[in-house]
This record gives sequence, structure tokens and C-alpha cells, in this order.
Amino acid sequence: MFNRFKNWISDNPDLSFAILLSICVYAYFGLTNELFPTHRTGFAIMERFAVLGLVGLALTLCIIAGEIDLSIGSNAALAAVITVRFTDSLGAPSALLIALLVSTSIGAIQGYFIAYLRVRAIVLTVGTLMLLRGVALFAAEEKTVMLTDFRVPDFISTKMLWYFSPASLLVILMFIIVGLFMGYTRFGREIYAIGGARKEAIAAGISLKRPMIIVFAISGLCAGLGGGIIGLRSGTAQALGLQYVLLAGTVAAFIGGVSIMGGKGGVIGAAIGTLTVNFLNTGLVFNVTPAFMVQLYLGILLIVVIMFQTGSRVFDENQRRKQILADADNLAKQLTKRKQFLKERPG
Amino acid sequence: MTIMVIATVMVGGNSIMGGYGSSLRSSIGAVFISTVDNMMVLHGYNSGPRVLAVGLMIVFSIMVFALVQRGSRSVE
Repeated sequence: MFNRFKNWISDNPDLSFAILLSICVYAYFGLTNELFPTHRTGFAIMERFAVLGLVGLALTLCIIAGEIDLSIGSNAALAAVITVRFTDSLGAPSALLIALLVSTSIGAIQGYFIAYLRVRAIVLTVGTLMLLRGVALFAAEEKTVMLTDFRVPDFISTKMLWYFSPASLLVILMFIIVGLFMGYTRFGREIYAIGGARKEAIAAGISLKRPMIIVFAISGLCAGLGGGIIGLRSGTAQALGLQYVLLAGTVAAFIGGVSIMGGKGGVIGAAIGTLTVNFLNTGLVFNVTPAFMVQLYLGILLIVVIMFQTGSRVFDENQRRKQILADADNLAKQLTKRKQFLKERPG
Repeated sequence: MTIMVIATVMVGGNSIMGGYGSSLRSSIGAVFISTVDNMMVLHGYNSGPRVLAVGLMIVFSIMVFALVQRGSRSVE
């Protein structure tokens, strides 16, 4: 049992470090502030998790595939505007569905063009960042759109099971589905393959198009769901809002242990990373810390994670090099032995 | 602001992967974008169509440059 635990840690150093870090942050605030471990704070943290977690998940998937989706904030804003505008006439579920369809198809189209043009995602998504912002401004007619019926925001933040609301339960369901998809289906493994070793993956017969379309479609879906949830929860949506989610989600993804080189990381890491960021944010608010200090602590956390990742990679490479040298030495010794044996053999 | 700068570089047709591009291209891109933006302001468009136009220009130029570049590579 203990051995299996040890093996798991040495197999997933980044993920176990992320888990350790989140436990440390939670324990620190839990010990210094008696209000922090209550279920009310837990509920607030889960509410923040609902949106930031989705963006973190989307960016984690993109970084696993070796790309990044810069248009995620604009896509979320567009989805928020669409959801809020259609909720009054069509009802919240169908409005959300329309927004999700739009954002998912935008993501899929982006993925298709990235694979077809063979450009880096960062190039194309800089363009769509502006483009979708413009579309969102059009859709909102450059005003802040608002709900008139506030029963929907009430419903979406009702408390369930002490910690959860319908929004955060939906997000957790989404995490589970995407996690199973990435871990246990061929399409999910293809995404890891094109991120970790793209040339090798293409040489092995994986087409670039399918994983790319899937990654960006999921990213669009997550952005749309996040935007829709924010729009419905606050009852308003601005076309120029939600610009901060890109950076916040990237920070969450990196703290969750995704590697910038691609091919490493996972859905659990995304959840852990977002939770760590939320623990830190909420805890610092409880301790009445000024906003710029929050940024400072977040930066320190990020640097610690990146230093750990770099350190563990260098350590790994050193171990491997030592192993190879030792193997070569052994081989050389065996060869000399054999030569001597052949020389000394009579006849 | 950063996004606008990146946009001008993109519209000028520089490669974000490095390797080629020039400051002349970037300045042509900047002049082009600010001309179009200014013209739209003078014609009384709001910020929505202006952002949309800049976005369309970026996406379009990325696609055109990517296709042109790919074409020249396949000839080699």
C-alpha cells in the first residue's frame, strides 16, 4: 500500500506537488483564521471555482496539446451576452444551450483553421480575440445587457449540500466527463500525443485536424459555459467584460502542474490548481490583505511551482544520463572481459 | 494596447515563430490598421464595428500569409 503510494508520487511529481501545495495553502489559512474552514467559505470558494475552474480546464487542455487559446475571454463574453439576451424570451436553459452551441462551434472552427493552415494557435487566436470581442459588441449593441426576471440568478446560486450550487455541480460534472474523455478514449490520448511529441505523432499516423478540433471545441465549450454561468449568476453581461479570465486561468493551469512543453498535466491538476488559487484569494481576503499583495503572493506561488517543475525535470534528466553512462560502462566491461576470454582461449 | 501592437505586427505579415519579418512590415501594418480605424471613426462607426474590422483584418492576413507561405514551401 505504502509502496504503491510512493510509486504514484514518483510517477506524477508535478501533480503531487500541486496537491501538497493546495493542502499547505488551505491548512495555513485554516489555522490562522477560524472562519476559513467553515462550509460558508467553502461555498464561496466553490462559486468562484465554477467559472475559474472551467477556464483553467480549457487552458490546461490547450497547453497539453502544445497550444494556447487566447480568445477564451472574448468567447466567454460573447456567450454571456448571448445567454443574457435570450434568457428573457426563450428561458434560461435554451438560451444557455444556444450560447454553448455558438461558442463550441467557434472553437471547432478555430481548431480546424489552426490545423489546416498549420499556424500556431497563438497566431490565429490573437485575431479571433479581437474578432469575437467585436462580435460580442455587436450582439450586445454596445450596451450592458440585463435580465428582467431575477428568478434565474436566484436558482443558479441556491445552496445544495452545504458546499455546492447548481452551477458548481454542473462544472464538477463537466470536469468528470472531460477527465474520463482525456484519460480513457483514443481521442483524448491523441491530444496528449500531439502535445508531447507532435512530429512523432504525425509520423505515427495521427492527423493533426481531429485532436486540434476537439481541443478547441472543448475549450470553446468551457469558455461558453463559464461565460453563461457568470451572465446568469449576475444577471448582466458586458461585451468588454471577462478579459481577466485568460490570465487567471493560465495561472491556475500552471499551478495545477501542466507543462508548458505540452503533453503533460491533466484534468485533476486543473481542478487542484484552480482550488489553490481560490484558497489563496479567499484566504487573503479574510486576512484583509490589499489587492496588490494578492497578486504578489500569486506570483510567488507560480514561481515556486515553476522552480519545482524545472528542478524535477533537471533531476530526471541527470538520473537518466547517469543510468545511460552506467549501462555503457557495464557493456564496455563485458566486452573487454569477452575479448580477454577469447584471447586466452587455447587454439 | 498590447493586443493592438501584436495585431499590427500580425497584419504586417511577420512570423510569430521568429525567423523572418522586418520592421518595415510592422510599420506598414501599423499604418494600415490606424488608417482603417481612423476612417471608420470619421465615418461615424461605433467601437463594435471597429473592433470587428481590426479582428477581421488580423484573421484574414494570418490566413493569407499562412497560405502564401505554405505554397512557397511546397514548391521547394
